[in-house]
Amino acid sequence: MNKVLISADNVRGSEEILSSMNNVVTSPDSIILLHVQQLVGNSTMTAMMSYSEIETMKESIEGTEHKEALDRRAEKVLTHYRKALEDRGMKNIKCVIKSGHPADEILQVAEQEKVDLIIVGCSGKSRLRKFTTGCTSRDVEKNSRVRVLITKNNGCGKHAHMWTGREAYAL
Amino acid sequence: MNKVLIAVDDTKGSKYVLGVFQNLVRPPQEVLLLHVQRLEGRSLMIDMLSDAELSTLKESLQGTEYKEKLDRHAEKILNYYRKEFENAGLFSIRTIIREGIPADEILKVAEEEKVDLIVVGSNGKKGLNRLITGCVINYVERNATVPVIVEKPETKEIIHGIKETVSPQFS
Repeated sequence: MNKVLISADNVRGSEEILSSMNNVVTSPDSIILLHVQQLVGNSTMTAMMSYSEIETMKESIEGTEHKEALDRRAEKVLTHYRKALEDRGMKNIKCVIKSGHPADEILQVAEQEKVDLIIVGCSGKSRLRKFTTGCTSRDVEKNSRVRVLITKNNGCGKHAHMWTGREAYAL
Repeated sequence: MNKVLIAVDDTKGSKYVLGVFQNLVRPPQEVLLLHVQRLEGRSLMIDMLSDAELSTLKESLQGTEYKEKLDRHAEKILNYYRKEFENAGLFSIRTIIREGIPADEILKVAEEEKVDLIVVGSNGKKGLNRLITGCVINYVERNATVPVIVEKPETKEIIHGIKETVSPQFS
């Protein structure tokens, strides 16, 4: 396998992604670590904004404390991933920082770099939270042209058999 | 990695799973090939049946010609995939035939057999079609507790979601 794109979102979900790099996939030639800065709120909010609005947003927060905090966070997350991957003997790691709508940016970078696999973590949100805050892993899976590996955190799928559509119909 | 569950059916989307061991996933100790017989209609139709109705349906189908046809069909599919995987150099392959709700059965088998990875193929269903006919991947991805790989068509052009095509005009 040539290229893998890893969506490095936060440090919390890194364990599963890194262990999947160890166990599931064969070692790739090069790795792209992508961190998408969330400029405002959650992914449903950025999904509702048009491109020009996002551009204006980017410009307006340039040089502010908020932006600096975002940059520091991105650095922290990326160095964490980078170090963990280098400890596992991976080479050719490229770090990319983008800002905007997460799923869009992931897909764009995947297309530009012609990756073979996208790895995204699952946050383990419930249905309602997914609906209100948006779900990047699903958006990526739906729209991507290359294969997607969705890793699971501890506690993912715990809502599995609680309340499915079927019970609702049966009632 | 010990066990990988691969869900197959007769659609074209399912064929993309064949590429998964070529240079992507480390060869596991055991491969489970699962085919879920669809007793009726599309996956959303069968979603609406309750458990009791489903077992009645199963009983009433027992011994009919239709059921025999389904069995033959399942055999054919599983033999095809078994052969393909054996050609790829995998030997410990176990095939499983289940009946009922595809997504549920996939999750059940994954839980019973304690698999480490689920592989499903994507048929590239989009938007309204996905909503009407139901999407097995969506459900599996949401409720699984283990990593999921969604295989995608290699070359087929997929049109991006509505957001990207619409938003520039409204800006």
